[in-house]
Amino acid sequence: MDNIDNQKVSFRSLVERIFTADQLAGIQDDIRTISQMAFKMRSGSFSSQIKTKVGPTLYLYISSLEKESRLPAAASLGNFLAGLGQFLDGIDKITFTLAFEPSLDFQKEIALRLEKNLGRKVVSDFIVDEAIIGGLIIEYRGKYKDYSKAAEINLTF
Amino acid sequence: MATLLSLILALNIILAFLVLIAILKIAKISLAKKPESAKNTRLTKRFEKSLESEIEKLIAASGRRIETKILEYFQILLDDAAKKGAELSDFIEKQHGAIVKETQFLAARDVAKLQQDLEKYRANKFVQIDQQVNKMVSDIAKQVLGKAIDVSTHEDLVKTALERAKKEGFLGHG
Repeated sequence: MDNIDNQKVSFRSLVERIFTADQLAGIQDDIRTISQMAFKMRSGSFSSQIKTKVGPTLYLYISSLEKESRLPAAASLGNFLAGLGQFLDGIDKITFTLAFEPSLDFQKEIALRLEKNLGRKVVSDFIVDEAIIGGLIIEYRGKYKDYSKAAEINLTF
Repeated sequence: MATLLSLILALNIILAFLVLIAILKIAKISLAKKPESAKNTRLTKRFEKSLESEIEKLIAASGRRIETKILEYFQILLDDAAKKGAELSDFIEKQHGAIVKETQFLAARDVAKLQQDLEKYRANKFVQIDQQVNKMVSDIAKQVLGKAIDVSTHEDLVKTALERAKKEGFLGHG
């Protein structure tokens, strides 16, 4: 995956708002939607045209680029969005199974902790399964590790 | 039995041969002398009586010999039957002993197999009971712990687990 700041127009402000796999999937869908619109530009700003078609995260990102005059011109907008889509496709996903429903703040905290540990952008997918009692189960790059309390109890008995 | 019949047949042939010799002997006497008719008649009667007497003697002697031989053969048959009976009795006794031994062996083998099967069954049952008890204790522990943990504790458990994963090198640097 290319570095987050190596692009001509940085993706950082967008990527920093993504923590979960669901958020990432939503934005990828939004990018596919507006990529088709980029080739049929009408009068007015691009952000105003996509406002009702995409979620707030991508809208705010495009809008801020427009305000800062950093959004590529109509001719190269398609390439820019394709590059953004590819960048997002390269983000790793980690699946966590928890025994409780995590708050958004906790999800964010976990995502930041992981990024710090791994040294790159990752998104988390959270699955709730009360049967694990506590702790978590991690699935990452085809590997599986069970750090749950249920596993500890099963080992004890 | 066949021997006995052969003997009787041989004795009959001998008897017939003796009768024939006697007839020829008497015939020779009558051919040598030509008595007158009255004299001849007396001689003929005397000859008949003599012949009859001779034949009776021969038959009686032959009968006695036949009877003796028959008795001898009956005795042989009785001895043979007794011997065969003794052999059969011995054979039955041996067979009986063999059957008893074989039955005892088979019964002992079945008992040993039954004991092995029982041991296996008992061991399997113990394993099953052990597993059931462990599952029950585990299920109860999970139910009790699952209800007792609050959100804050859950979050702490997750953070601790992440630290453990980091130390083990599963996530990032070990």
